[in-house]
Amino acid sequence: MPDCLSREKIGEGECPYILPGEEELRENRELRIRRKCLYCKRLLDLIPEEEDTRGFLLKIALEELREKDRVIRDMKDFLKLQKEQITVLHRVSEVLNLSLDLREIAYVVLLSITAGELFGFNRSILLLYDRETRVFTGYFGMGPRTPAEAVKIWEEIERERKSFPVLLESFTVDKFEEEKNKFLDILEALETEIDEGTEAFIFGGKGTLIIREKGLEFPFFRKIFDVLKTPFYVLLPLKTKEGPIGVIIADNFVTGLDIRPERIESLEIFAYQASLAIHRAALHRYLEDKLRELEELNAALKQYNEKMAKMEKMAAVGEIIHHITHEFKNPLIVIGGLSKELLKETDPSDSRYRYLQAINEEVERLLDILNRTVEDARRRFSVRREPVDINSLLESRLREYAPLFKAKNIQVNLAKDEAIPPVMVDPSQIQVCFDNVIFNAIEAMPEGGRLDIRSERNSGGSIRISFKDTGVGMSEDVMKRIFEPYFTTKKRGSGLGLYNTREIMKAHGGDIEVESREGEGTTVYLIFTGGEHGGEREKGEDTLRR
Amino acid sequence: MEEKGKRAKILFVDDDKNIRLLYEKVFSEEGYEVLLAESGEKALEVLKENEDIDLVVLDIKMKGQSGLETLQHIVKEKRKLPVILCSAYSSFQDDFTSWLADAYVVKSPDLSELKFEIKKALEKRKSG
Repeated sequence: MPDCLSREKIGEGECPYILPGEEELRENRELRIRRKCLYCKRLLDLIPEEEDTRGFLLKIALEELREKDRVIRDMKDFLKLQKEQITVLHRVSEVLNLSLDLREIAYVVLLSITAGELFGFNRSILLLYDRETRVFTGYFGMGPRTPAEAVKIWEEIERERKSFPVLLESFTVDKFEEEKNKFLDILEALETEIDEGTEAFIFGGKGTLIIREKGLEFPFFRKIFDVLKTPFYVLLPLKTKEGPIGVIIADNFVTGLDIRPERIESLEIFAYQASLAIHRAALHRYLEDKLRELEELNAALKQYNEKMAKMEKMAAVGEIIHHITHEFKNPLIVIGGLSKELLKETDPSDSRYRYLQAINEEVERLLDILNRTVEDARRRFSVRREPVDINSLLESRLREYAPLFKAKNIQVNLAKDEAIPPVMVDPSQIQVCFDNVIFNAIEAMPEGGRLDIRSERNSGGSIRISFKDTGVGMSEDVMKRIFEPYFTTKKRGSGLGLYNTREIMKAHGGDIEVESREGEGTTVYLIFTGGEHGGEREKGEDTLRR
Repeated sequence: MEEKGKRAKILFVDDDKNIRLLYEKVFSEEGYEVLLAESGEKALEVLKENEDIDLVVLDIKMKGQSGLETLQHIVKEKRKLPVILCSAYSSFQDDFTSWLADAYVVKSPDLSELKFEIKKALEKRKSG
């Protein structure tokens, strides 16, 4: 029996448990017993065994002490591991919270599932779920595809000391695509429509599902076995309080290692975080799409506005040119005509002859300019009639306005009389009329509403298109003025819309009528007096001078 | 057939007094008997008072009744009376009412086209 237990001091090398740096224990008996002797193998040998109750108690106490000590040590190790994991998870959640790119989120989530520092699965796959159609779609996969590749990857991580935080920063779109392409066959094969029962089973609150048996009642689970060719896999449901959004499938197809039960809880916490991030990114993408849609609509609206303003301006310019012509032409004709007459009566030797000639020339020049300007304006503003199917023209305008109607929450209904014959009109000008009327209707329904458009043929042969809106309507005072040029109730508007519409309709031998009731809506009627004008017009060119 | 030496009687309708002055000077010298009216309404009165008018030259854009409306009245009442429209605008040729007229002349200081159309219309009237 060693006497090291009874001496205050012991010599160097006498106790094999005292490590370098613990030299003071050799000097202090009590401290030495507390730290070392209580765990010494030889200590139990000191205790007398035979029927000595105190000895027996001591032995049990010592054994118990050693057992507890081992448990504490294990716990310390476990806590250390947990602490490391929490630190890593914290980094992961930072990335997940900051990113709005679904690809980056998917990359980081699956990286965490496969990283040795966290959940350590061999490979993992993310399927997104559409609640409406109950369809899973493969979105992303990560990990090796073959055991050989697995060995290569793990050696590489070991060799290059790729720590998880470094890998976390490694996301690029190219890398994402590369990894995704590797899994394309699996992702496509796993696209599945499931039934209500499967949905309830996966997302019904059971948490992580560890699937080990082929004989399961859900075909989806069997399909995953068939595709992954793995002895078991983990199905991690992803959902937010708004509903299911997908699953993560993870397996250990290379190592075959079973999942450690103590990891399940943190896996589920992680899954919840991942769900929120994916949900947020999807929402963000949805909003971005909507925003882009709105921007496009705004641009289109702006274009419509500009086009409309331009057309209105052009019509106004045409009006002005017409007016100027008349006011200038008559005086010039008088000056020119009379000077010509005077010229005839004047002898070329008379000095006034040259002056009259000059007057004549200048008048000719001015008239020439005026005529060319008028011709140009005429070409641009005149009515060029051709047979037009009013229904098709209407439909094409409604198609063009469809996104605007949608954005403004306006329901449009077209009831067309298919028997309407083609009408001889200038389609570009009639289009302006339709646009003006439709535009006014849209403006009258800022909160959305309903626009009923009807085409019909009256017994007299005239064709009437009505546009009935459920907008704000007009007061009697406003109604009295709607056809005045430059009269407008809009913030942005030339006040020429209805004026021009009426001018165009009249130029076509048609008319416009408006009924309105404040607070109830407005109905505009565009009336065409049938197709007979055009027929005559075509012969007309020849018979113009009988 | 007209009597030899009897001058053709032409009614010129225009709301511009200087245009009327021009017509009067030029067509009197051409050898016609020139009557003038400053509006469509007035023109119809003159036509009623002068059954022997051979031709009407009609401006279109005038204050009050337009030349085209006047033309419709004339055609309704005196089917055979030739009418020549003479307007500063060429655009009224698109209005099919204008096709009721025998000719459409765009106003110009050079009156030769108008002279030509007047002659042609009068000859047609004589032979017809």
